[in-house]
Amino acid sequence: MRRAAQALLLLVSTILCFLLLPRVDRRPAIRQGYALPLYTARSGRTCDNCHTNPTGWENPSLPWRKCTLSCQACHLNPSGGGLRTTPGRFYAQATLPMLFASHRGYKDWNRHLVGSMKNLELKRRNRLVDPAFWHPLGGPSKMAFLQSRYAGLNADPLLFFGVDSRLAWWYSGRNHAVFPMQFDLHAGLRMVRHLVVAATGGLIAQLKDADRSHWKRISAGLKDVYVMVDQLPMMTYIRAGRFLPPFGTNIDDHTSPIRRDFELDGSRLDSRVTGVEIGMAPNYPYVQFAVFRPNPGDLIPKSIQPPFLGVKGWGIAASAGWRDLAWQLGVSFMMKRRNIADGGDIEAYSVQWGFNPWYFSNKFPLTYMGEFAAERYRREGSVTSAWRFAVFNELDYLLFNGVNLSVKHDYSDADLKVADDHANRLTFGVDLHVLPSFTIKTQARLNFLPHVGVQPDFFMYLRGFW
Amino acid sequence: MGSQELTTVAPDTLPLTVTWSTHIQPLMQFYCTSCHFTNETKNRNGDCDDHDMNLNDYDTVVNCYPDLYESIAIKQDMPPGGARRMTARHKALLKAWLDGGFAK
Repeated sequence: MRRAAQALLLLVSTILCFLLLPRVDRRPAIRQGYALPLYTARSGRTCDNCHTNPTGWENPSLPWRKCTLSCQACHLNPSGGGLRTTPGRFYAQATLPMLFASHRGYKDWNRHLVGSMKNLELKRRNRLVDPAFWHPLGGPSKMAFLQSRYAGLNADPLLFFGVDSRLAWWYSGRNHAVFPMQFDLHAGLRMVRHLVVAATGGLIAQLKDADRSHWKRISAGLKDVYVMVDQLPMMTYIRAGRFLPPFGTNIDDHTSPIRRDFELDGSRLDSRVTGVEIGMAPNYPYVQFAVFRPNPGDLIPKSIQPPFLGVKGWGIAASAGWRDLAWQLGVSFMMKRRNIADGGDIEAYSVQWGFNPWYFSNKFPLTYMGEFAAERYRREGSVTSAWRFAVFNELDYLLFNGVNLSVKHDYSDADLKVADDHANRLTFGVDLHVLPSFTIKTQARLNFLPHVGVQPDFFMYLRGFW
Repeated sequence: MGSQELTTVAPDTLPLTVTWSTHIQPLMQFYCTSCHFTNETKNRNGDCDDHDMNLNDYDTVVNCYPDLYESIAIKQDMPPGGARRMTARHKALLKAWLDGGFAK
C-alpha cells in the first residue's frame, strides 16, 4: 500500500512537472546533472561511437569535419549538457547501453557481460522513437548530416526534443530520503541549417521528510535559452542568450565543490549568465569566449528567483585547450564584476586534463580525468578578499558494456586563511546503463570531516533520458 | 589550511545586532529546513537529536542551539553528505546571535 502511494505520488509529481513547467516566477532549486565528459574522453577511441562505420564515405576536409571531442559533438550546448545532437543521441543508443544497443562499436563486440547478449544487437537500428522530426530548409543534407550514418536516427532534424529525469535515494546510515532529483525538458528548433533556437526548462520537488515520502514543494524554471549560429567551418559558433559560462569541466555531480563553489552549479538559475559567446572546436584544439551580465553569487540566501537578465555588472569567461583522441588539456578563466551586495568580484582560474589509455589498447578500458581550480573572491558582504581552491580526480573502468566502475576524489578549501573549512570526499560508483535511455547510478561516498572523522553516505538514482 | 577560526574570519561583515527574523531564520531555511521541518510548531518530543525537529521555529532552534551550533560550526557534520555547507560568515552570524542572547 505504501509503495502504491509512493508510485502514485511519483506519477502525480511527474504530471505536475509538465503543468508547472511554464511557470518561471518561483525560485527554483533544480538539481541537474549532465552527460559526462567521461563519454567525450572515451568516444575518441573508435569512429563508431558517434556514427556508424565510415567505410567508403566521403571524408570531409578539415573545416567541415565534426570529429571534435568538444562537448558540442554530442550536445547542442557548446559547454555541454542538455539537448543532444544526432551523434549524441547515437552514442546514447549505441555505445552506452548494456542491452539492445542500436549499433555496438566494433571494439566492444566482445565486451558483453554474457556472450549471448550480442544476439540482441543484430538489428542495427534504433530501438526507440527518435525525438527529432523533419528537416530544416537549406537544401539536401551531406556529410555529417547524411541520414545513413546514425542507425535510423534523424540526422538533420528541424525540431528535436530531449528529456532528462532522475529519481534519487539518499541514505546516511541515520536518515534516508527519496526525491525527484531532476526533470528537464529540452527543445530545439532549426528552421534553417546553422541557425537554431534552443531552450531547457526544469523542475524539482525538494525533499522534505522522505521517511513519509513527502515532497516539500515543486519549483520550475527556464534554465537555458539561446539562439545560436553553429556548425560553421571549424565547428565555429556564436550564440546569445542565457547559459552557463564556459569554464572548466562540466561534470555530472552538481555537489562537487569544483563546480558548486565556483558559481557553476548547474542545478541553480543563479549560476547562469546572460550574454554572448563565440567559439570553435575543430580537430582538436578548442577555444570559447563569452561576455555577459552576471547573476548574484549563489552563496547568499535569497528568497526570490534571480533576475532573468542578471544584475548590474559584467563578466567574461574563456576556455581553450586541446582535446585529442587519447588525451586532453585545457585552461579556463572567468571574471565577474558586480556590487558587493550581489556577491562582489571574482576571478577564477582552472586547469583541466584527461587521459584515455583505452585508445592505445583494448585491454585497458580506463579513463582518467581531473581539474584544479582556484578563485579570488570577496568574502560575503565584505570588502576583504580571499582565495579558495578545489580539485577533483576521477578514474573510470568499463567492466562490461554498460557497466562502469568509478572512483573519484574531491577536495576543496573554501578560504585559505581559515582553519578546518576544507571538504574532502571519496566517491566509489557503479553506473549501470541497462537499457537504451535508462541508467541506474549508485555511489558510496566517504566524507572526511575535520572534527568528526569519516561520515559515509550512499546515493542512488534512476535516470531516464531521451 | 590557514589558522583563523571559522567564526572570526569576517568580522567586518557582521551587523551590530544579529536577529532571528533577519539573519538566522533565513539561514535555517536555506541550509536546514529542507530536511528538518515539521508542520508542528515545536519538535514533537523535545529531542534535539530528532530528525523531525522544526528548525524554522525560534523556540526549537534556541532550545537545541548547543547541539546545533556544535554540529554546524564545530564538527561541521551538518549539513551532511553533498549538501551545501555554511560559509564562514554564516557561521560567524550563528556565533554572534549566540553572543547577543538570541535576539528575535
